[in-house]
Amino acid sequence: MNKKNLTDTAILTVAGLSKSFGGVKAVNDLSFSVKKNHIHAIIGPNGAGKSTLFNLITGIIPPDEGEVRFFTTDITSLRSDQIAKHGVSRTFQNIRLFPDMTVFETVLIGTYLLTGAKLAPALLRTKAFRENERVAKQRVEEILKFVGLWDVRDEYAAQLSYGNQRRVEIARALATQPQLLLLDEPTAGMNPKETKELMDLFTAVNNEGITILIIAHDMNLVNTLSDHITVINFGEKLVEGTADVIQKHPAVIEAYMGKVKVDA
Amino acid sequence: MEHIRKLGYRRLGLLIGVLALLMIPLGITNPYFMYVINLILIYILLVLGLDLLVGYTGQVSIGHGAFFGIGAYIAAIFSTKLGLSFWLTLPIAILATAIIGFIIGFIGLKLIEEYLVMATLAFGTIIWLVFLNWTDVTGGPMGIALIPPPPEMNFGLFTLSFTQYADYYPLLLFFVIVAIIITKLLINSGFGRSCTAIRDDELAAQSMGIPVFRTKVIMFTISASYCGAAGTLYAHFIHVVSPETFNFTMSVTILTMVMIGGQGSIIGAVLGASLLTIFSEALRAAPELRMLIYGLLIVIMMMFFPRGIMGIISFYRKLIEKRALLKKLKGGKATVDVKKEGLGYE
Ligand SMILES: Nc1ncnc2c1ncn2[C@@H]1O[C@H](COP(=O)(O)OP(=O)(O)OP(=O)(O)O)[C@@H](O)[C@H]1O
Ligand SMILES: [Mg+2]
Repeated sequence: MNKKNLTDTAILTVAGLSKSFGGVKAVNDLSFSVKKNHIHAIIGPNGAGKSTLFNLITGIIPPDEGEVRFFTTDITSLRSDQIAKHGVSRTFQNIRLFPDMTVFETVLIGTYLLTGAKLAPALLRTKAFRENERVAKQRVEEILKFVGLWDVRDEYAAQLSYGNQRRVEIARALATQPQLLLLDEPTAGMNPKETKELMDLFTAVNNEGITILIIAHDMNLVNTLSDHITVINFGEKLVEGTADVIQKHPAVIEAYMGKVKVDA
Repeated sequence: MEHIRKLGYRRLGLLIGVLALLMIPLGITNPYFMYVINLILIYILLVLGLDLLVGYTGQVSIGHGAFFGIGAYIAAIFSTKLGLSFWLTLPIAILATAIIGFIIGFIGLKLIEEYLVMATLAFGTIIWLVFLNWTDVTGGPMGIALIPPPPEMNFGLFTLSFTQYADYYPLLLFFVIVAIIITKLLINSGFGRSCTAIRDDELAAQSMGIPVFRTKVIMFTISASYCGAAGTLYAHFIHVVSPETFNFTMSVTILTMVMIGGQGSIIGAVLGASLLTIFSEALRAAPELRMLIYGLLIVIMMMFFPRGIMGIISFYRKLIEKRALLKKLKGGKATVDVKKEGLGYE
């Protein structure tokens, strides 16, 4: 676990980020940074603004104020497809799959950044086009084997078990070849066995050199996996540090642990 | 034998199928039937075009009749006033409808985001009013007549002189086959896949790096130019264009064909166009009734069979496969819960 090459380079920097919905300050002057190769956890009670933070980072909603940087690039005002192109991919709190697609087709969508969508090569079926398609499909095969879904590749993604649907979502995100992977409560609703298996998968992904920013309520998961933890409450940063520091922090115990929601 | 199998029965089957299709005029002596068949081919082009947008990308337009009209009027104007032949009016119409499609798609999909349906409806109405009122160019309510047929085509063995309906058939069939091939090539590519992803979940698609807006606009453009091509063929085939052909009813008719056949399916497009063309020819005497029935059909299809005829077919095929499988497993009669399987999307 600690064999990995932890660095001090910030892959993601959030500076003074704010977002209000009507009167609700969902994210309020939030600043933190994620170091390359880390597994960085975001924890906080329901409604703390964690998912909103992810939506701000990935450009799904624009912030009222503040800045998001990927390495040194300002990505604050980019669209989510442009942010994906920079190397940030994500999964959603409520799994979002393509209802009409098989597992293979779903993950193939993730290769869009590789294959592109040029029309002329597609219509002429040029050599470059066919080579691209071959590479994309090969990548999907590798990823499906990596996440353990190769055997169910031809099944409709939406008909799989909850745990496997989450895997499909992760596989699709991996197919974009991200440097930073954002996971929004990936183990919510999973049984202990599924949770354990997913945790192993996250470690494996991280060992491939992919930085992970993960929202979770499961303190066992957070303590086991994360190199760094940021606790947020009412959209603000409460405290951050390693698992040891966080667990002992009085403000955390009061504000968060007091009303902790443990996912079964 | 093994060799032939490698070459592919599929290709052989396709070849035989196309040859058989080419033979159709030989067996049909009634020119009216030939006329209807040609009409079906033109509708297939329209439906293939609209289905790219509706079925594969999930964006609804009720203004595609206007693109059909623009293609037809361009053919009419350029051929009667400037003396251009079909082989020139066709690319001009395709280009023009692509450009207009791009503009309308851009506006409809961007400026008034959720309102593509409204934007296309408005566009269709405006274009229809232009056809009707710009008398100097479009001939107003009378339209434009005496549109010349395509120039004679000589193939050595036989000649297409375009003096009878049967002569148009191979030409139209050729364009339908080309359109089907282009559709297939488009759909089975990164571009086509990104459209399907947008249809299924726009937010997820965009998060995977797909530029949603650009992709939709491109598909809208392509879809419009299919209809432009169909319009040109129509004008040179019917020899007359007039505004009432390209009104709101036309847009709804094409959309109904897409829905009936099954969105996102090439065979569905062929089925939808064929069935509804025959149906509306049969109901020629009562056009008002036709609109009523189309409206009802759309509602019924949306509510119970969102994937049209092709959806029903694939549902029963799956059911039969499942029965066979269960039979094998149990060695007896098996039942499958139809309700649980569902016919629709969800
Ligand atoms: N699109 C929106 N419109 C209005 N209010 C919103 C929107 N999205 C989030 N909110 C509000 O912002 C606050 C933060 O929500 P958010 O979903 O970010 O919390 P969370 O930390 O992810 O919670 P949970 O643990 O339940 O997932 C909540 O009060 C929520 O109601
Ligand atoms: Mg959340």
